Amino acid sequence: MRSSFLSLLSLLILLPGQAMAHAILVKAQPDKESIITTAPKEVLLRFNDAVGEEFLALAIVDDKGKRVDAHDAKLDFSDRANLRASVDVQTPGRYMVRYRVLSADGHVVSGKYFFTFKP
Amino acid sequence: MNARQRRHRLALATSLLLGASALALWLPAPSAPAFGGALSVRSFDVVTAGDRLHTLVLGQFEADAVTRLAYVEAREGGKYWGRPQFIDTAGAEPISSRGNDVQLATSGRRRVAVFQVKGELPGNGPLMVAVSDDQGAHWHSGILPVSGDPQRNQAYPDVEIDADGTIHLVWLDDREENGSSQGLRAAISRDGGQSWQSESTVDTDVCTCCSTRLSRLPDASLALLYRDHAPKDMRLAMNSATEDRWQTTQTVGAFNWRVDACPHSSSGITSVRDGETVVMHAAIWTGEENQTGVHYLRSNAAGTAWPTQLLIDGAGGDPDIASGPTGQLAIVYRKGHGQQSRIALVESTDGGAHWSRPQLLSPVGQRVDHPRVVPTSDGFRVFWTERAGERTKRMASVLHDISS
Repeated sequence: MRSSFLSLLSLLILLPGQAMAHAILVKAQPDKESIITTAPKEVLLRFNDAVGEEFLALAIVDDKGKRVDAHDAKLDFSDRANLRASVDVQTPGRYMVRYRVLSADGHVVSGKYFFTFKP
Repeated sequence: MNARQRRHRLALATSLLLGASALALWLPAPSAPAFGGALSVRSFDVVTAGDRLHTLVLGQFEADAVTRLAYVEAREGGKYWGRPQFIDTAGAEPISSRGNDVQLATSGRRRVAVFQVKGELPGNGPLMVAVSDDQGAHWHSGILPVSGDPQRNQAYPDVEIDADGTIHLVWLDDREENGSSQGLRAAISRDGGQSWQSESTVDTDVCTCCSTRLSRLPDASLALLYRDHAPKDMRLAMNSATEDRWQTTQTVGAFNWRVDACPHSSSGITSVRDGETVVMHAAIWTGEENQTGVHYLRSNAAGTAWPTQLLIDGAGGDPDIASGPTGQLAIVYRKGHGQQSRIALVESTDGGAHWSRPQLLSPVGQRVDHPRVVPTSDGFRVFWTERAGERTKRMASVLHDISS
């Protein structure tokens, strides 16, 4: 943890304004490729830096292609590195999380990952 | 302190001051390359062939307020510049960011420019390839027909041309939609960019926002230097001259640097023949704790091992490296940051075993970026960009005489 923090610090000092500008997903709940036994009430994505509202998207889709999120994706007011959406996961199976955010460097970044619900 | 000690200190201080003044007078002053008045430079690339420099510049020129892409050739190591030849991008708008810079390659009469153009989403878009077969006088361009990327978003390219005119292109795209990493792709064209074959993935998981660096070796094979995703160390891939197949080899500097951020720092690679051996030299940057800075590495084993590793400057970043006409090596980099940043050069005349102290090439008080170095018959020509106002960047250059 300390090493990672110092690495970030050296990036900020030596490459100011660049190092943290590009959005990178650093944490997800449910996690990438995880198998969960309790149905989640929301999906939470944490990025390495605050992201913008524009072009924001977060969709959670079941293995039949049906969206199970409440179309309420939003950034936390107090920490705009957190993106979350409510979900209604009832059926066991594999779910895809697909996101799109606007980085501080002006680049739109998108990605996807999967988790499995196996109660 | 007695009177004699005071006199001695005064004499020493005077000598140092005079020495510094003489050094300042003796160092060549940087200047803007004298071509067609580029008012503002957003991105550039420079390659050398003999004593000719070939430059690709994305910026605003006197003739036009809009951002344009121009090819400019210089003679005698950058002493005399030709007129800019503007490249028609068929209405597409080139975009760039540091690391994701416009790229140029030359071979014979052929010139190839590769750059990202604006797509539907900010910072996204496909690659465009422009080719000239008359030394840059006329260009034809087209969107790279990448078959496996439905998102049409490719960036961080580099390009090389074989002696027979075959164009090798590499780039990053995230066709797997990993989000936090991208795949390193490659393709070739044997018909001057009319069609592209052998689209392949060199590495499935690389740093999503880091530049790629292609380099032609003396045995005609290709070396590709890029930054891995985890850890964020540099890696090398090789493509032999006899078979068109990329093979990843070794980490170039095993720092085991793990960070969830974007190190936009560039890197450089060059090579020289030493008898039957091809010796590779790399200049890279890492942010790993206690090892942060610009490092020099050397491989005598075709990139499969890099036993020589030296820290060049712990306060440096964005390095580039070039080998001179008789085997000299020069590394340039940005020392410091912001208004305090300077362009620095170190050189080695013994194959990388020992390096000179940093020589600061850019003036004090400029915010400098994008250091590049290319060999000339006299030594090395160094380029960089520096701030000229809030938003405008201009290009600067200086000739570093190897005999100095």
